[in-house]
Amino acid sequence: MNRFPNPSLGRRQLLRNGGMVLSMGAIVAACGTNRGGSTNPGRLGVADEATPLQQDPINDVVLLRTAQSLEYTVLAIYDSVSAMGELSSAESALAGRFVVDHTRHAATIGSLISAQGGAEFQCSNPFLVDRAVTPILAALDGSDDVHRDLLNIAHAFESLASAAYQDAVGSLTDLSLRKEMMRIGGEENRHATALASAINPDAVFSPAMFGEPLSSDADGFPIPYPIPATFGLLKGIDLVVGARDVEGSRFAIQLQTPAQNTYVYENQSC
Amino acid sequence: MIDSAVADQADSDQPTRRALFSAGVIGAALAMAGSRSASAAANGLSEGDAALVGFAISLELTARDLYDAAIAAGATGQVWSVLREQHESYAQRLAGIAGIPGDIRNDEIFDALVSGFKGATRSAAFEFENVAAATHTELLGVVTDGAAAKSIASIIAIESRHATLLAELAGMADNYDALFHNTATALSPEA
Repeated sequence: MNRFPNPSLGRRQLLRNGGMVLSMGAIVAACGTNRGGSTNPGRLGVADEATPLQQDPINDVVLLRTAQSLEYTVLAIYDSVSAMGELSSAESALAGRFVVDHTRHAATIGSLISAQGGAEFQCSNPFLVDRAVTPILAALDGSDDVHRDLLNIAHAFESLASAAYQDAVGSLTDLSLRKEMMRIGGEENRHATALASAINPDAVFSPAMFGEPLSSDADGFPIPYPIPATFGLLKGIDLVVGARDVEGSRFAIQLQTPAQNTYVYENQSC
Repeated sequence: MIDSAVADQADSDQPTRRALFSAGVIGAALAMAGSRSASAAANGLSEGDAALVGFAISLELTARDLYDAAIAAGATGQVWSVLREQHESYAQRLAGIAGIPGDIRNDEIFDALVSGFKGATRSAAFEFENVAAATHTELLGVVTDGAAAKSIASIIAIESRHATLLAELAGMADNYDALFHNTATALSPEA
């Protein structure tokens, strides 16, 4: 019995016709418009469309409020560092000077915010506190060298502040604010330099400046350098603190310059 | 080789920044900046921005030549050669952004400061780094081009670090004002 009543539709013909269909499909698709379709994820059910989240504008006031929150974050860190009583008298004096400088920076930024018609944000950055400061300080519990950790923490946050001010220059629209930000940013860089010298007195220039690879020290800690690069860096800042866990690892985090999740928007309050 | 510790004792004899200004440096900087602006718009910078960036380039080339003078006079140590390279890199970066040849230093600034550098005094270099950082910071308030501003900011960051490093090397590690606060007066292309 012939299971294919149309004798003209052989395997060869079937392949030929199939190829023609595919070719026509390609031509039609190429000639079509609005072929993108919806990029929304698929939905189940008949619930109302979700209300899109309001995107608060990122303006100069937001950038300034974020900078002010960074200053208060660093001040809170120095409070914690000093309270632990691990610093030498010389280091305590240095930290004391940094507190004076950061307090002045916060006040300066506050004046700039007011001049822009914004409201000051006189407290630590909420996102940074939740995601970085709290876990970093918690990791000091049981540390094999709290003194080492505190210096590294101070250096990391001074470096973060340095990078944050430099980064803000690219986003601020008011030219006079760019200048004021880097006036403060320059001082944060100076703080970071002094701390790097204190932590690592044996080397001044980062090996990366000479095309050599960067490496951690024998215990796995990033090595700070007073001069870390030819140009100011905006990359993440690695921080390692605490004792080794059962797997031999220490608490590690990378601090990033402020972005959408770190900004202090105008509708936020302390 | 010049002993930097001994040479630093002669710092009080070096020209101060105030003397530098009174020597008419600023006018020369303006003339130099102005001379560059005609060829500057190639990379899309306004004439005003090109003149300002040209001024910054000439300052960086002056720095390079000052460090060269120190090295030629016998200064040894990595800090002199590396900082020389740093400033040349800054001139090159800015020249690339502005499309301006990075080859003209400011002779008047150079002449006013070269004796301090020939003495390999770290405090002379410290003062210069502060002036450079202050000058670039002021430029940020007037340069409108975003790429140029970001590059200038990245230069300020490291020149500030240079100043602190040099202050430490010059024996000012306990002088927190010198280490952390830049009181230098900026050179101005508009004076």
